Amino acid sequence: MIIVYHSYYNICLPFTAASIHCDNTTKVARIISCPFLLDFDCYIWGKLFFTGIDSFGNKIYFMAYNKAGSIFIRAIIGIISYLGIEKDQLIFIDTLRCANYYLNIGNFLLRMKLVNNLTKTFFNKGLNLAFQEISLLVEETLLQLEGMKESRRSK
Amino acid sequence: MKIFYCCYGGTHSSVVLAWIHVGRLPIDRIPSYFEITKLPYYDRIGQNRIGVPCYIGNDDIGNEIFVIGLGSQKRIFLNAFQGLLKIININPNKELIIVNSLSQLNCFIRIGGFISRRLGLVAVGRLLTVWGIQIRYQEFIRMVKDVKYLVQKGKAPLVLN
Repeated sequence: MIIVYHSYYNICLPFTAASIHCDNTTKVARIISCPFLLDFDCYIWGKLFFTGIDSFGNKIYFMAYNKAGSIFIRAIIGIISYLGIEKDQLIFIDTLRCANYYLNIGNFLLRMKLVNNLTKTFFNKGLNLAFQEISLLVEETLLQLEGMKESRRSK
Repeated sequence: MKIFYCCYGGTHSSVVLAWIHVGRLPIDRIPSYFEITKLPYYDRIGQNRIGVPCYIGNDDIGNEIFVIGLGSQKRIFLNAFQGLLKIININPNKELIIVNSLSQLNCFIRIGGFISRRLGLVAVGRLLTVWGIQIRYQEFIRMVKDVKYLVQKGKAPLVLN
């Protein structure tokens, strides 16, 4: 199964979620120190980045897009299903619900091409605040996966 | 092979191209207003359905024809989609083609589509889109012929503009 964490504009949230999913001992400091976290450019939009394989054997990816995310996901899932791949082989998880004002301001500064200490501070603060929510999102995903595994076993 | 005709909303130009491809619209004359507006999916896909592929039918050599709206982020979508195809080991050249019909649009279709789908003024918008399509109809036929030729020769790329 392929799991893609995605978000609008910046990879900060999906990257954190994917990292937690693969290794639940991940710390904010480690994510913030990642060199490409603030290396923003539109070339990353739509690209799938591999993070690792989780304990269930699922491949974990993360991705960012510009806008119209729901259209994007519907189109991918729709076409993939017509290619004979089961829909539940591909799970997209939107991490945008974990965003907060600090991350939004950080994103805004990135959009203005301002990558400086202030931007990093906003991201650091925002990610620290969002970490709990992201962990919860990952936990929910893991529960969903466990449920799917159980239902397959019972079949 | 699966052929996906795509445009912004997947409800005007892509629908007409797909119906020309399956043979429901004529290739020797320009169809009337009613012939176009009575096509399934024509000017009927709402905002919440953009992105969902709609099956149109099979052409004379068994290719499956679909229409899909990709919104304004087609380049980003194709980035992600190609990445995903690699991950799941699908060779897109043998399985599908995405035909971009946006290159065939003129201002009447664009404005008509906006008026009908966004502003909800269906009667005015639909009239404009049909008018625009009738003006560009010969180009539509040429595009479908190109697609059929490339598919038959096995030379079709993943994305055809």
